[in-house]
Amino acid sequence: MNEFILTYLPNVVKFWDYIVKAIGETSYMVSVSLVLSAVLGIPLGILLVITGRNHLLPMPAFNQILSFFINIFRSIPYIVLIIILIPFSRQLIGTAIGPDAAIISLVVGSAPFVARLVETAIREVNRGVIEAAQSMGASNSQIIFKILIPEALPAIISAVTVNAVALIGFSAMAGVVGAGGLGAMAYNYGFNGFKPDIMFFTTVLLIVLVQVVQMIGDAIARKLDHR
Amino acid sequence: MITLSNVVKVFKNRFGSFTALDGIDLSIQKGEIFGIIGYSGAGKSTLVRMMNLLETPTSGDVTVGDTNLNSLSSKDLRRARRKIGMVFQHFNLLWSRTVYDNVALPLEIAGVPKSEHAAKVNELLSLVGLSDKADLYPAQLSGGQKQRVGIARALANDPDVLLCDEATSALDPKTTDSILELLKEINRKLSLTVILITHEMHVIEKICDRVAVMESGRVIEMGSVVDIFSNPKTTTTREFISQVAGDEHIDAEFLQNLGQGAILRCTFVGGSASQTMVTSLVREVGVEVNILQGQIKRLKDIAFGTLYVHIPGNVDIEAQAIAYLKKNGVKVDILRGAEGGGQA
Ligand SMILES: Nc1ncnc2c1ncn2[C@@H]1O[C@H](COP(=O)(O)OP(=O)(O)O)[C@@H](O)[C@H]1O
Ligand SMILES: [Mg+2]
Repeated sequence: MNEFILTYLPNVVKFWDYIVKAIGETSYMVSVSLVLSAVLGIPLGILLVITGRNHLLPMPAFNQILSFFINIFRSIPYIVLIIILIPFSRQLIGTAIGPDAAIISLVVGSAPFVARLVETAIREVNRGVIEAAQSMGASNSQIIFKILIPEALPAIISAVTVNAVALIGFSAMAGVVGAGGLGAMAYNYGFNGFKPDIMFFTTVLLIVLVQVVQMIGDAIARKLDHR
Repeated sequence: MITLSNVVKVFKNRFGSFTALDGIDLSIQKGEIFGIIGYSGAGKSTLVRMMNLLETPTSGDVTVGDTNLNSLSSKDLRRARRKIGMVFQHFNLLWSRTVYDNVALPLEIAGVPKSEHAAKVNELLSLVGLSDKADLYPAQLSGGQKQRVGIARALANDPDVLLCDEATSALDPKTTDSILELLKEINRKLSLTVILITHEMHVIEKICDRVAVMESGRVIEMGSVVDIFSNPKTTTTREFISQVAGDEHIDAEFLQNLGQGAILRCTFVGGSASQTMVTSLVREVGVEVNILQGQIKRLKDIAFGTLYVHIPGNVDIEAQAIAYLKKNGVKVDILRGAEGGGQA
């Protein structure tokens, strides 16, 4: 086994500490941007639904403007977004490179995506149930927190999971432009440094990460789903 | 208990406007079970949604208890709604909550302290016969059980009024009857005013005290269920009655061949049971009676029957028989007089 590793993955052994560090960076970027994009995206998704026509808080003009901006951010290619956000990153955290700078672009890029997924999830909540809550005398905030979110929770968890997988991919891309992590490892050491075993190994790690995240997300969603 | 005066509801959209309620005047007494029947699109749901202002009237007043709902601030309206329970055709339960937590939802919304929930929820679950299902999720229940949860939930804040919009329309006939029994029991035990929307006359005859018949956004007929059954004034009402009355049509050719004598439709309400009446008619007046067709139904708490009879003989005999029947509280319609024969 050891012999096998030394023969086929020599650089993986040699650069093991770097790989461990890269795993740490990827986990950090993905988990922080996952939390931040959920914190931003979920309320935006809820707003998209409830400010729509015939919903809790109809505000057609606001709704259309919000929808328009979300579409804009969703249509900017990620690599372009990174570049656009350079001055903003400098302002906010003092630098445009490294994991923290990557987190900014990852959040800006994925929060609108989460918002759209959550919008669909919330829209699926049966209108009759909302009406039942109104007939009990529920206020709008009670309807949001006691009806909309709990009823849509499995779908919201699925949305967050889909976003986590997307973030793993995008974080690898951000790595290429100086954010570190497994993507940077694959590119800098593997591709530019002619160490195919590193490229192979880090890619396998990314695949495993995606599988694990998807499995966890599916398990939670299934546990919450009592339909 | 509930008064609607000149309530109008106009729905407007891009294509124009539609008058769903066209001047409704209605007064529902405390403690009664009031039915509203009509075909699909008649405006029944819109009307019942006026009674908790889920739908706001375009004009007119809605009073429940002694509060005019239109005049309330949104906060006061929410408070008033706690005293008006509502039950839905498709139950509208939260599938993310257990039966127990579904019933507790109105208490949470009303801000009742959590320590008081268990007693109330358990009391309600035992009232609707679901004590052993508290920890199940709605998806694990049958339709009838789901509606029982819906009813328990609607009663959580001790309402004065229960609004039921097609509460049994998604259920099979047997389950429908058990839910109707439950509503009747609740009405009696809690002296709750119940408003029942339906398109099935069966529901009306089974538990309602009074009924309003709706068509095209108007109440076209209203009265006690017995009066409506014994003396329907509109075609629509007659159609609804025929849903439950079986085939009232008597073959014309069959009547032609009956020979001389009167053909009468006798309507019995309450006390005058039809069988003894026929027996005593034969015995005391001394006429012959051929029973052509008849049926007796039980309304909420009164017997109600129709009987088609042929009485051979002349006009005198006919007059004697009719006088006797009327004296005993039977409503008589002459389908064919004793003389002449042939025409109805
Ligand atoms: N929100 C609405 N907008 C436009 N039209 C409506 C709306 N709600 C109901 N209507 C119309 O009002 C009429 C009565 O509807 P409804 O009260 O639901 O009837 P019912 O319950 O007797 O079947 C229908 O023709 C329906 O299309
Ligand atoms: Mg309806």
